Amino acid sequence: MFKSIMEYQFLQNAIISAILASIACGIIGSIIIEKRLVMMSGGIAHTAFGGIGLGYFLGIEPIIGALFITVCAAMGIATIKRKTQTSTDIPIGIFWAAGMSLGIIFIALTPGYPPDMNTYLFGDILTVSRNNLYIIMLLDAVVVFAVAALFHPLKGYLFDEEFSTVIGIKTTFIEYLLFILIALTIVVIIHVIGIILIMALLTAPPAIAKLFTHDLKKLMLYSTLLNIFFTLVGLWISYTLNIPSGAAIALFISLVYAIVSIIKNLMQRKILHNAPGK
Amino acid sequence: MKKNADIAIEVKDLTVYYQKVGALSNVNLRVKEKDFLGIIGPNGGGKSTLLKAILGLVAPHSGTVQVFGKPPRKALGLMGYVPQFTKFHRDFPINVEETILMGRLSGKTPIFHRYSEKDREIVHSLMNKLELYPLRDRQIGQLSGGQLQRTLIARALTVEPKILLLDEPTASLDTESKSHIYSILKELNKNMTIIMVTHDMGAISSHVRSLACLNKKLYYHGHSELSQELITHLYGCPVDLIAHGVPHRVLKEHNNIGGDSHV
Repeated sequence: MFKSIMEYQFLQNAIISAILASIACGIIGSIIIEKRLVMMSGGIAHTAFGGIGLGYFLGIEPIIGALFITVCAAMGIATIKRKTQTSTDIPIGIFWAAGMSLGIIFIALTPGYPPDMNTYLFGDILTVSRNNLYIIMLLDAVVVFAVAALFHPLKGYLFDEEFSTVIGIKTTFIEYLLFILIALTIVVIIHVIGIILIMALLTAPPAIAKLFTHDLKKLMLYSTLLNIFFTLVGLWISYTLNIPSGAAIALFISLVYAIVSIIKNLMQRKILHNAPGK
Repeated sequence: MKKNADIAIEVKDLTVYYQKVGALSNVNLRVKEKDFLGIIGPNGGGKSTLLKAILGLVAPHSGTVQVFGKPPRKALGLMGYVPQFTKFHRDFPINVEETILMGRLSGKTPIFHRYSEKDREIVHSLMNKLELYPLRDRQIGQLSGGQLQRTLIARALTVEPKILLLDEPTASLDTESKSHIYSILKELNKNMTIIMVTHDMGAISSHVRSLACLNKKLYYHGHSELSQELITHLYGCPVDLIAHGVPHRVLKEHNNIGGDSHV
């Protein structure tokens, strides 16, 4: 495979995009699991499909369509979260379905032979073009910059929103910004792993990383490293066995997560037994 | 204006609705500086809502709240807030020191912010004062209830407030931790006004200076002597509080101290 990497640009693109996606995912994934935003992120991810359809319908780059729609959906979901005092599961579920439906309708309305949507649904890291790569790079830079610039207030918001508001942190602004960053991250990883499988890359690595650290910054760093490991190994499995890359990565992550969870449970029994307080 | 100089908080005709359900109606309350006010009342009686209205977290439907003569959102630096444990997740990746440092942030925190030496000094001296220094690297989920509560009090104090507002600070703490928290509050009360929502009737009798009994309306506001009169006032609170059971049982026990524990 190494020889092929030197030879083929599509493999180089694949590896670069995997690393870039890992960075955005490591950072935003850590935030999503800490702020319990998994469902909402799932909702935003699925509306991306509507954006892909819109892109085809308008004859523009589908990723740009996805970017537009996911950002709109993110603002919508953030607003719902602000205004709803009870559970947001129902509106999120409806966003989820409506986004997917929009995509299918746009594709149906697009004249000509329907495009293959599998790339977007399940990811195909080997089809990342140079243009896609530039978009991914830009979005990645925005995510990293925003999180680094606002790290302390963001952490305050994530940990204790009410207290943060009381001391004057602009929590509403941070919340909307965060949802936009989630949308950007989703767009970054669509090619790598696909809309349907995104949640694997966003949630499992930080959940594993959390076993090794109690520091948000390190959690983001370890998640990123894990993501790079998962995506590159997944890519290698997919290339070697000639199976779809998105599914290979997602399945590999799930497998590791399952193993780690089992080991964690066994260890916890031992720790409870051995440590009478730190 | 001059004669109101010692008034820390003034609530006038405050009415708050949550989605058409009245949470507070026509509450009038005046808290003097250096007072130690306990707010009691049944669950859903608007205790936390009143606290939130004072903090500017909920907007009044009608009426006004003034903190040292200013609207709450303009008085942010004057108030320190100690929320209930349920307001955050205890498994969050943050340690004691970082939690307390958080209080040094504000709306003016610049981008790419780092905590200054002064921030760290303030936090260190508070950690020493509240016996948290040896625990500074602990993730907050690994603290006992009392340690966590002291961490939250320290965080509120980093704001260097004139008023400390606490939402059920002793709920689910053991007796020893409770008395530790009260001794801290007593010490703080020398220099600042304290407002505490609580279910702990024992505290009302022995630690709190004045008392507000709240069930959507303010039913009683005055001295917190555990007199027959006060008990009558408490029973005068709507049925919910009586049915609530726990406070009254504690209250009775308190009256029976040294006497026959047999009911």
